[in-house]
Amino acid sequence: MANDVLLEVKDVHTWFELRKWGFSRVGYVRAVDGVSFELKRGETVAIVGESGCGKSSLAKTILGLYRPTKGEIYFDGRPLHKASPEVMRWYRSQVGYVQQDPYGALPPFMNVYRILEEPLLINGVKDRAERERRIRRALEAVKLAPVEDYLSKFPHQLSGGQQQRLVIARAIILEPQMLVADEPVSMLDASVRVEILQLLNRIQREYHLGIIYITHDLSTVRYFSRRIFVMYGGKVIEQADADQLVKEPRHPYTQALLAAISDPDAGNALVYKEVPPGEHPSLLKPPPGCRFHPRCVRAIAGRCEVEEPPAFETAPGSSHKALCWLYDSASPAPAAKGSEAV
Amino acid sequence: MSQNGFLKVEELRLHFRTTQGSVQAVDGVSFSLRKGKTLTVVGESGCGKSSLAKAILRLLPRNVETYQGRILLGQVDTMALSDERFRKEVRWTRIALVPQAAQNALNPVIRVAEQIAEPLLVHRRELSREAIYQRAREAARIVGIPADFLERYPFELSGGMRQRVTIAMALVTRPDLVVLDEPTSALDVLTQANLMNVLKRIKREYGATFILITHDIGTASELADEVAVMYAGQLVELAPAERFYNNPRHPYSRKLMASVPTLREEKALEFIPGQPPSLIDPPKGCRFADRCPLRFAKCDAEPPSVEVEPGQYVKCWLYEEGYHG
Repeated sequence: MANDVLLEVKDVHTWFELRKWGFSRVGYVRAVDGVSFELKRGETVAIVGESGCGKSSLAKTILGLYRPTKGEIYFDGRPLHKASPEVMRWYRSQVGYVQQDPYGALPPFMNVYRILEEPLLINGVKDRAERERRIRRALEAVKLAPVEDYLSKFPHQLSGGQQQRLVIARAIILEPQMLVADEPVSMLDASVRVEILQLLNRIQREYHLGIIYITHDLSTVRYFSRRIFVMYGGKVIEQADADQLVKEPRHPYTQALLAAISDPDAGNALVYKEVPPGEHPSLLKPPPGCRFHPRCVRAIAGRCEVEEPPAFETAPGSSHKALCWLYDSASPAPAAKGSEAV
Repeated sequence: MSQNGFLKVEELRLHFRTTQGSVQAVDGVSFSLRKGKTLTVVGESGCGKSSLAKAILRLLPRNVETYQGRILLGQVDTMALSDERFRKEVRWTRIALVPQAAQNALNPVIRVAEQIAEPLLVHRRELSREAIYQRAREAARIVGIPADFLERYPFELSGGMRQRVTIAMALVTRPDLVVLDEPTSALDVLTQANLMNVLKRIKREYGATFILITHDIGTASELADEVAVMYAGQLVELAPAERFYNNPRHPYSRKLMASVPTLREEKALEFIPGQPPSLIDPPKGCRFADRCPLRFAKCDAEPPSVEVEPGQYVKCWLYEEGYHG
């Protein structure tokens, strides 16, 4: 197949119905509200945002755990949003999932061998020798070696880093084409974090995996992925190549997010950080217009609170896009108080 | 009160008894802190940093095997006090704690104002209710809780706001020292930056003295005057923040710094192979030796704490006199 797009997400909405007393509908939580992107084979993209921005709902929608309310998802050219159970079963063997909390993700009553054997059994690998060969291969790939030492261990006998490596081994044992990693290192110590990220990088090359890396931590993203999508209030508000986004963030929210991260530097203690006021908006009743406008220092009165911005190119022809009226080249930002002066 | 040793901790030890043996969670920790300054204790999970906080506040579980050393607060050796006197005269009146994940431990059925006032209601019974609530309102104002939030319940508040409540609870008795155990680790990036601003302001405007315990070296730099690096129950490096961030000296500190991703600076990340030793029966010599790239023969013996630069102490044989690294 010449097509090198592995996953295509088109204007996906995942809304959760909110009911009162179990039947009268009071509204929707718009967790994912019109997200589109493409993932190529063997590519890593990162989805970055704070808690409550909808990034985990997006991950679960992509994994097929939630059905999108609206929009289309194609994997390897096949539509998932209206897939039959058989197609979904095939899809699940093509996608690995790395959870945030490795201990919570591993069944405490199964040993390493059984944890890794289960997906093989479910997917009909009947030959015992073949199963064992694949289990060994996966454990070696995640550097849980010598393999013999680990096969009979239970999750609580492993350290946090080893547990996460086991989770990764389980995710790749069916040799999937894609991996969804939801905060894979946020529970780990700094020194282990780097090890796991480097491991994921190496596995991606070896298995030619497409990886969707979901995180709140912009500082690790650059070391790990080529493109970054920043989510806010259920929408992707900025997208760009990783280096570009970190060096020249365009959306005021991304700028604030980057400014808030502390590099280890004694000078930090001498200055206050600029933090936008207020809090992340409710996904039940998002603010009208741009969702960031109530907190934005550069909000244009009469525009940002009225009309929702589309994705503008930050420079003509650039793949760096921001959902922000500041980059509307067709009609440059009007004077701040133009409409009120009359 | 001498400025130079407002808080002095000497050879503090806290060992726990378990069925597998004694866990040496805090093993010979010494440092001193001046009034109005902040010491940040950084270390990875299981290094004993939270146990250090508990040892300072004498909040101990039942299975304590060894609890010894000296903690001088001003002129008072708090370790010499009886439990009852410690409870009355030190805990929360002179040293307060913001425990880890405290924002989730607020009582859901008690209004914010009352929770903030609680330490005073317990420890300062001589004050009138009016005076107590006056001071609770003041503490809330200092940490930036809007006045109308005081009549709300904790579940109505966001995580960042709840964390401010716990900090107000620690400040309300006007203690000499506040120990903060991972105050920002469960919060979002922007909320975290906001809270660090609050702590910075309290430090600057009210001259508060903090011990900040964290695993995050980046966040630690926001508040640090002094940095202590903890590894396997011991302080391996203690240095002024400026020196530590520009030139960490202990091999573990260096490795740890190299593993932290930075936004504004390009560098290759490294990780530290292996795992920290078990605190039950840790290795005899240097506890980092097994993972240390610079290990040599001497490391089998316990290294001394060497002052390599004024105020910068490193527990490592490399810096024994004669070595100039």
